[in-house]
Order: sequence, then structure tokens, then C-alpha cells
Amino acid sequence: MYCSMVNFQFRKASALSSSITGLCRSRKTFGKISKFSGLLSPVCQVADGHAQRLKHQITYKAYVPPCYQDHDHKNMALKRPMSPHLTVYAPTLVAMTSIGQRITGTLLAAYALLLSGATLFLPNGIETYVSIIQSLDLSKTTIFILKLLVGLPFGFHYFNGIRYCMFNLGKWLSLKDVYATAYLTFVLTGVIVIFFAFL
Amino acid sequence: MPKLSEQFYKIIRFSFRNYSSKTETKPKKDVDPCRTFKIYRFGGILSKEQPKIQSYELDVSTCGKMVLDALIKIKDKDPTLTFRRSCREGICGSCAINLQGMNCLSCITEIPPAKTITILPLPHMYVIRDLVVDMTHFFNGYDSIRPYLVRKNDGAIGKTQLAQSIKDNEKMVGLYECVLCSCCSTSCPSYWWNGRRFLGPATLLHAYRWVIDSRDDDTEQRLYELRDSFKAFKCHTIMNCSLACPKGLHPAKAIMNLKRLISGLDKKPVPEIDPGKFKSGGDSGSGKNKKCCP
Repeated sequence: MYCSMVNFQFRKASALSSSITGLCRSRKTFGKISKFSGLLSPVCQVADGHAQRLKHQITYKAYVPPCYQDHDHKNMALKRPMSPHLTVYAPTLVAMTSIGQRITGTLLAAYALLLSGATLFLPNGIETYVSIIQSLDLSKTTIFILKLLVGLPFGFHYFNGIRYCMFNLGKWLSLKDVYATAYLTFVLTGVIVIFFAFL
Repeated sequence: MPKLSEQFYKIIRFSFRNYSSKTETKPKKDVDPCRTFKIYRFGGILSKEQPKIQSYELDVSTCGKMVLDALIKIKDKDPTLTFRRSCREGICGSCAINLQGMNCLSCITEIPPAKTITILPLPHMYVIRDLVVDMTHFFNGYDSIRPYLVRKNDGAIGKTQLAQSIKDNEKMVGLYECVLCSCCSTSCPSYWWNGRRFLGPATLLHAYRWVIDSRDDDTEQRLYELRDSFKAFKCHTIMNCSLACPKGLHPAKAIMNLKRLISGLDKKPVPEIDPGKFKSGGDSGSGKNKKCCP
């Protein structure tokens, strides 16, 4: 305040621009300038003509509580990167059986939709398509492999599904059992699918 | 493709070694002590740089055998490396990292016998700097399940001892030891995709701990609060949590029990001893007449 009042003295010559009133905290001090006319030059320098707060002046602003942002928006606004997840996490057997269950489930649903769509919209009945496949003259091994591939989702989803149903009942939840039943699932799937592929 | 199956076998061996009841056999092959540590680096939002992986060469025979020792040794060389740590004994849960693709506590995990060791921050968390991540939503989820004892019609808790039988206390073994390191929650793909509404294995483990505590009276309300499609039921029994837990706990089992309680298939058993057994008859306001605390 003192400094600004002193400065005022030196600025008296210039017009009372808004920048000078900006310096002076209140208009009241304007009247008191004459008292300080004999003082030495002020310590603080102020740039000419610009409204600038002097360094020692403390300004108080009303407290505005920070606007609440949920976790994602706050972090995205801060531009923080997301740590890698899917690409770096180890593919554990349990996670792979779980996602395998989901994928085979979607595949089976797709089979069902395709079959029903085909029955509805494709012409000429199922015999024509059976004879088309027969006319392709695929070797026995190719047919076997194709049947295996088509049947694998069924087998895996079925046996894994039983495993997950038992989890929901509270059984086979210890890690040893989880792994043992996973291997059992694989074995059973293999056996059943190969059996049906032979038929 | 062959590399993927190799990874499978490594994880299977890792899991069986850690969770089998047989005595552990030490790995036979000796690895050269000069290892390469590949560590995720990010200078913070003000540095305006992209996250990257930086390689450090370290002779592990010059530092302690835990990953945290290696990190501290690397920090001696490169002081800008930033990571959380506190107790160095696996009880505080600060130093959770992603090591070789699996989450663990760096202070209690030995440096694996591999030539290259990859250290990343916990998966699917916003990175503040290097290996330090923003855990706010994890702790908010934990606070939301009211992790404290609630007694009804009891006056102030803490005036008398609440009685609990040994069998009822044993129900909480494997639940109270959770240190909230979030290794399990950050290993769960369901928590990655639905982390804001799904509570995650750690919080659900604690929710179960408070539900089956025989001294807690507010079971109905606790279970009612968990009754929606996301809070507990977004758990699809992926079981990554139980594999990741550095304390050897089994969140998946606790969550299954909790789900059965929420859906009403199971009921919480009645406490064997009445918890208010030691309360002296007639509550006095000041408590000066009570026998326990002078």
C-alpha cells in the first residue's frame, strides 16, 4: 500500500489512467498522496502504463471448491496415460479358459443364428447343400479336421460350462481344483470332439 | 504360437509351485547374474514425453534377492526412477507392480531367474509417474462397502469386548490379512473394463469379511447394498485374482460365497456365542461402573 501511494506521487503528472487506479487498492488513498511528497524514490518499480500487481501485494480470492470430476474425467483431463493391460498381462490358464468360454459361446450363438437364418432364407432345402459339400470331394482327413474345428466350440463350451456351474455352486474353487478341472475339461473336450468327428 | 504355449507352461509351473502342497523344488538352471531390467518409464504430465520402456543392466549378486532391492539399486544409478515402497516386508501393500506379466509385491517377490525382467505398473490404472499409479477409485470402492463394524442397539462400540467363538473367528482367516495392495483387482479383466462400477476382488473380499463377521449386525443392509448387476455380479470367476494375490489369499472363493449370500442361496449362520455376552447388565452413561477399563 505504501509503495503504491508513493508511486502515485510520481505518476501524478500522467493522466489518471485505469492502470494507475489498478495500482491503488482503493480510491481513498488518492487524497493522501500529498503527505508523502517528500519521500525518497520507491523501492519497487512498476512497468509503465500496465496494470500490474506489485510483488509484495497479497491478493485474496474467494475459495472456490474444485469442481468434482469422476476418476476417469479427472485423469483424462490431466492427460495421464493408462498403464498397459491386455497386451502385457500374462495369459494365465484360468483367464484363457474364461475368455475361451465367452468366445465359444459367441461362436455357438453365431452357429445357431446362421443355421436358423439359412433355413429361413436360403432356397432349395438342406439336401442341396449337403450334395454341394459332397461334390467338393474333400479327402477324409480334411473332412475330419473340419468336423473337429466345428465341433471344438461345442465340446469346450459344454465341459467348461459344467466347470463354471460347479464354481457357482461353491465347489472346485481351490486353485488346485481349478487347474485340475481345467485339464480335465481339455481332455474330455478332446475325447468327445474326436469321437464325434470320427462318426 | 509356440511362444504362447511356452508362456502357458511357465504360468502353470509358477502356479503349481506356489500352490501345490508338495515341497518346492528349486529351479535347476543357473542364470548369469548380469540381468536386464526393462522398466516402464513416464516422466509425469508436465514432462510432455510419451511413456517408454527403459533398459537397465544390473548384477543381481550385488543387491538383495527381492525385486525391490533391485529397483532400489537401479534408483541409485538413475535417481529419476520412481516407485512406491514402505514396509519392505509385504504388509503395507505399497510396492505392487507387474513383474513378467503377473502382479506381485516387489518387496517379497524374488528376482526371477530370467535374463530379461520386465517391470510395469499395475495394469489399467492411470500412471502418475513411472511405476506410481492413481489408486483413488480403488480406495473409494473400498470405502463404499462400509469397512467397519456396525452394531445395532448397542450404545457405543468399544465399551466392552464383543464375544466371538474360535470357529467364528476362523471364518475370517484368509480375509482379514488383505493389505489392499490391489494386485488382485488390477489383474481382473472385469475390473479393467468395469472398474468404476464393479468393486473388484479386493473390495469384495473385504465386503465378505464384514458380512460373515459374527459380531457385525448389519448383514442384511450390507448384502442389500451389493445387490446390483455391477458391484459384485460383474465377477465372472476369471480367477486371475487368486493367482495374483501376493499374500496367498483366495478372493475368488470369498466372492463366490458372497454372491451366494447376496442372492439368498446361503444364509449367514447365527453366531455361536452372543457377541454382547460380556456386556454388564444396565448401561451406565459414563462407563465408570464397567468392570473392564478403569
